[in-house]
Amino acid sequence: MIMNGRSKRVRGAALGCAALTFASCGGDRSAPDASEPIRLWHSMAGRLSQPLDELVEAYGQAHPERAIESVSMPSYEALSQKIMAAVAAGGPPDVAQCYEAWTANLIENESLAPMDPLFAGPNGLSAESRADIHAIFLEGATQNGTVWSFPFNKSVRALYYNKDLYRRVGLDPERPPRTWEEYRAFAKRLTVDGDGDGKPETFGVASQITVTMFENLIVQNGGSLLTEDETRVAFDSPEGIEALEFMADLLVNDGSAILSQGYEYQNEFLAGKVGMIEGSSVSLVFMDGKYEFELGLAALPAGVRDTQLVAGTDVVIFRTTPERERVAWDFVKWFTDTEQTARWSALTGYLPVRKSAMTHPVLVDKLESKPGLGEVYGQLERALPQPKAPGWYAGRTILEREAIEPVLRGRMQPAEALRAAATKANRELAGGL
Amino acid sequence: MPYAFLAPAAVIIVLFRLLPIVAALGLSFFDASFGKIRAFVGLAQYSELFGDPAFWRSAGNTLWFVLGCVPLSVASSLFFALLLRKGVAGLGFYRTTYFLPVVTSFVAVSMVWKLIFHTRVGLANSVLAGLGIEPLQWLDEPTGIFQLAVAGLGWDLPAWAHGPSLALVCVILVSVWRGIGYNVVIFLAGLQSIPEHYYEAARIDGAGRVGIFRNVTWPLLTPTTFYVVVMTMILSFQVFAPIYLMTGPPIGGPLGTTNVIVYYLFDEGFGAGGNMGYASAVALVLFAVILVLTLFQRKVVEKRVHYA
Amino acid sequence: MHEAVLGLRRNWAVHALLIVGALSFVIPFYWMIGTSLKGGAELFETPPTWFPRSLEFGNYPEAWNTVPFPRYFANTIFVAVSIVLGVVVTSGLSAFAFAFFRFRGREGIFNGFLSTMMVPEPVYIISSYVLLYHLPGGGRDGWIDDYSALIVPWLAHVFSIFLLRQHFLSFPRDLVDAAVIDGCSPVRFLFVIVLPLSKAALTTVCLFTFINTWNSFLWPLVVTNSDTIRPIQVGLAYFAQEQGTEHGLMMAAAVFSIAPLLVAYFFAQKQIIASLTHTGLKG
Repeated sequence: MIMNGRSKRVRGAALGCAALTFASCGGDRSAPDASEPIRLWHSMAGRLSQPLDELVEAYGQAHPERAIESVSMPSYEALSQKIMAAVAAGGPPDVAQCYEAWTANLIENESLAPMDPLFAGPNGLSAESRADIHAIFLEGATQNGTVWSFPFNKSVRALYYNKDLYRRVGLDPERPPRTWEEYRAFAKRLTVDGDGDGKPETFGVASQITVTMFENLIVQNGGSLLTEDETRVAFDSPEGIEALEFMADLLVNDGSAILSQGYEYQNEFLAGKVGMIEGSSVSLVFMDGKYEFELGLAALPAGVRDTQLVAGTDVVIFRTTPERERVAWDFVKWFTDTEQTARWSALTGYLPVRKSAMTHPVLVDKLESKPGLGEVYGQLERALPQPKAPGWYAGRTILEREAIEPVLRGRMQPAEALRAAATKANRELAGGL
Repeated sequence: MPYAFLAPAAVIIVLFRLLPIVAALGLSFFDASFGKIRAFVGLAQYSELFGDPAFWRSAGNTLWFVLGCVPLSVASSLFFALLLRKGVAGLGFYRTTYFLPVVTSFVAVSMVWKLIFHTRVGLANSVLAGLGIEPLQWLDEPTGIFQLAVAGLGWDLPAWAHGPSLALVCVILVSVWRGIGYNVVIFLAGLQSIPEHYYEAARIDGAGRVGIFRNVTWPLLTPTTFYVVVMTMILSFQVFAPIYLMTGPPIGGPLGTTNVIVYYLFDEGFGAGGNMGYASAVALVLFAVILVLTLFQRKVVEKRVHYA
Repeated sequence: MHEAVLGLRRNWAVHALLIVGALSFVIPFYWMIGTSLKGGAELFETPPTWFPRSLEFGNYPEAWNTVPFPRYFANTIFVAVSIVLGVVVTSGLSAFAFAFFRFRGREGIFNGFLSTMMVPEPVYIISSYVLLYHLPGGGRDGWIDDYSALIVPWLAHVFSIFLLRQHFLSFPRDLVDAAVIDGCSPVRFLFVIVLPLSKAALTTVCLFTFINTWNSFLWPLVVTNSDTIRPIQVGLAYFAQEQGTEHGLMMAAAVFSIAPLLVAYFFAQKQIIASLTHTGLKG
């Protein structure tokens, strides 16, 4: 019958196409033309988009023969989803922001162009230039001896506090907490129930469900997230348990902290409802113009050690063609050159990639105009790099969702939560991808 | 000749529906992290997903979602349709208002409801405050609603009896809110198609309002009701937009209680896992469940539907 | 008399309930608009105010200019119109074939089409992404991030074929017979007889295709990346995620994103409702 023949042929064609799809799946599409713009994928949205666009445009003006097309994603999650999908289909962008943990996956997948050949190439990094970059950034960008990414928007954490509220409860506004014990005590002082109805009008701190505060507390307590060789987790150590207990105490026992969702903790602070928040050095830009009290800015309190983990992301260059990789590198090199990195830092609060930028007039002015900012930037000297193990991306998510969240919501005790999460996270580290 | 007329549609449908569907089936048999077809794993990914507690949690959340949406939506739409059926004054106005959320995009709907459920500046909590009730965490509340209800009395339920989280219930409410107008219109059409003489006969027999409903309206409405139930069920299994827009971070909502199946597979395919083969397997399982339930409804439930 | 009084009381109760219902549907829209008109500090207040203290229209131009909303609108209109045209053509032709011809495999093909309708979008969206990426033409990423991915896969719509077929099947037999006797070619029959008599059905198809395309979210979310191609709902969702806590701006953006459809809705409620619920067509 004609029809049966037709439908058989249709079916056959469908399966054939499916097979073709699989065969070409993951393989590179015919590489893009060298003349097409270099694509930069990032998630510098909101108030960060203008500084980035300014710089991208400045590069375009300085190099009219090379166009940079920048695409903004609304969040890091969206960015990682898009990168993942693009890599899977075989057509990633040229340059993209990337957390250390995703980098490991991409390296394994052979999607990235290693940086060392670019450093050594004609438009490379001289030894002097290389030494000008903060060592910790390059260390964070290195996996197994090869440099796979490059610092782009790195940050540190900072303590923001409401000087007016400090004055109101009798705290010295020029004296932010320097230790975690002081932080806890100040938080209690800032929790004020004026009308005695059992519901404080102001609180000490607004917390979020995130690994960031925990990872800094544990290293300040003398512990670490992973073992030295990064094959197993180490966050279920006594130091880690103490760190998580501290976070829980503020919320559950002291009642001096409130739990907020997403970025709402910033709003609580801006509305004058909490006296202190721990944010990024970049948060300042987002809060600008939205508060009516005197803002205090300080380094994080210290524990047994005075340190923290470097935050923010690098950029990676994807494997496309040697020509395009070179142009992508040229952009990255330009962006992180003294002049640009100083400007970027002054506009956003991200740390300058180069030491020489600290004496650049643009940045010097900025640091002078914002008291406390210099102290915040100074934390970089004492900072540690983020873990790089491939399985840590999943492991970190487990730590957040299965230990930190239940504990902060008062569902589990820190010790048991961390131990359970450790077991699962170790499986991720062992399995790698 | 007729084949020529069919060709345009057929090409599109084969290329963009049939082909991806078949490809998805094929993809599910391969480990496809990062798009590289690494290995043929046969049914391994299916057994993997059945052994994954995260899958079961998202399945459980989805089930609660469907169990919440369907009865709530069907009952409330039927209720309003019955009220409107009496040829009530302003029928047009009511229908227009009730249908308003349906023509509004789910994105905008989710955004405003997220604001309404905001713990500090949201309308919901200010209404509660006006009633003298403590504010709730709404979209950020992982505790099950049954537990929340009895906690007010000082009791405690065992963990398995807590019920869906308040966060998930919020999403259910928004989903139902958006769809009521649609179902009301469908029910109205169904009610209008019931011939008047049945009602007259019942009235002559002396039946009261309840009797009329039970013996005339409900039985003759069963085809419509059946249609509404099945459509609502199929749609609620696939919920995505309000979950994506109203819940998280963290992804999956408070303590993962709003992670439904479509979101779970979206995250597995495009997010952390990057394994499109695994995600395809999950999607096919979802399809199988919907198919089985629909067939079950047709075979078993449809028997009780009175077709005129 | 007694009954009249009872009837009156029942009527009040009915209206009261209906009005409460109506309020519950309208209040969130009021809230959306109200919030969009509030200024910075007022947005932080607990409890929130019902009436904005002063009408701040500034949120609208600010939201409009922050991201390329005009571009998003243009994209959406272009995509929606293209899809409507395509659906009308492909569905009209197919339904015509199914309804007026007898040919081998007619039922088989029709049922085949219908079966693809049953499969939920999440099943084929992932493999579609890969397929679209590898198709020739389009831009750098194949059809991904190109209008083709937004338009072409949606140019045929099975439910529209189903609807139009239903409608065509309701044509009286005599009409067809007369045309055949008169030696009318199928094409002439289609354009001169069938289409003019199908205005209502075609309007229905146009309306719900347009509205569903305007409101579509998951598909464009996955297949678009850059903001030059992005349609309005994805743009709005991204805006909401980026702005995070700028409630005033977010609500302003939401308002002007739904405004076009709402305006059309108020002018053509009956048709829109009838078309979306397919209750406009009998049989």
